[in-house]
Amino acid sequence: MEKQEKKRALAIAAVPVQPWGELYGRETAFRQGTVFKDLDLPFFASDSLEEPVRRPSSEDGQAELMQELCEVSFLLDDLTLYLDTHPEDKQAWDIYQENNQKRKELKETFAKRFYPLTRDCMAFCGDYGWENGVPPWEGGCC
Amino acid sequence: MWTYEKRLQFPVKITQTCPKTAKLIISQYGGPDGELSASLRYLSQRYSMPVKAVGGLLTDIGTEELAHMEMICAMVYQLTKNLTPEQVKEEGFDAYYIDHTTGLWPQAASSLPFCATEFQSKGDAIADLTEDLAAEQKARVVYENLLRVIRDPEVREPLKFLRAREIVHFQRFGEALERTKDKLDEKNYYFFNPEFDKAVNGYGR
Repeated sequence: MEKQEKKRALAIAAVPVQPWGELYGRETAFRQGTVFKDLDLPFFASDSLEEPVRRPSSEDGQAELMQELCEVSFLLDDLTLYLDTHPEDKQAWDIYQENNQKRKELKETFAKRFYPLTRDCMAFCGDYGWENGVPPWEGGCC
Repeated sequence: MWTYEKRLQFPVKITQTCPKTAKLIISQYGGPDGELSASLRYLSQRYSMPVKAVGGLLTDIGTEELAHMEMICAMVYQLTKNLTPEQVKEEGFDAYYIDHTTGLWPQAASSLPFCATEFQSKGDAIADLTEDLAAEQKARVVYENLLRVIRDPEVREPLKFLRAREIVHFQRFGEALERTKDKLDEKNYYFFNPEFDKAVNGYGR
């Protein structure tokens, strides 16, 4: 009741706090730009039917591994912001921790098999520098 | 401290050169509602935020905006790669080309250079968070304006992703404003500025 009163205060903006709801799977979340179904509010001119879903593929598996890393990382990006405003949400925190572990493993695997993505990963593949791999702005991701 | 990760947040792989489209999209690099402006806005405002978690949210969103700036730059770069002098003239990219060749430089679609006057850091939590809510809405409109006129699916996919992020960020800033209000006097949110009048009510201590 007290909260209701606050919401109706004059002369200040109010946005309802998001309740926990249905989550998209990792792949859909990445494509839609959010893991939260309730926040997926598309624009009429961005009809997703016109654009077929392109799954990256490569002979050595690099594109697939990068795609998986991007999807897991994005899930964490979105959950990070949710947890910033819902720090007490146990469900979100559990999913965060689980995927954070997965991201760590994927980054290590990518560094060992292909090239390091961060300074920290360089130690894994024993290869320092920018020479390996395509720069991200050249389309060297996913 | 920041650490760079050698990948984009969302893939950008554009195969068709199109300087005309690059000239429109560059607005989200250096334009008034662009990603550079967004990032600097949030990363500037966070220092004096009275609620710790709100300063944290501004850091996290400001960081994500840097990744969005990188995506926009990658799009402009790929759209102007392998440009011929003929294409430069035909597609209205000549003025930019004279000043920057095909280098990346933060400007609006209207050619206005990036300028810090495009955003505020007001030192007042309610004023700043209300600006942030509006900033996300304005950026959403730019992405929608782009989506109405751009047809190339390779360009549309990252634009749709970025538009979706504006809506999520709006929601989070709204929640940040609620958290800030929780610590203020609900009978008069404007009785004092929690970022400056620290002695009043021991706010944020």
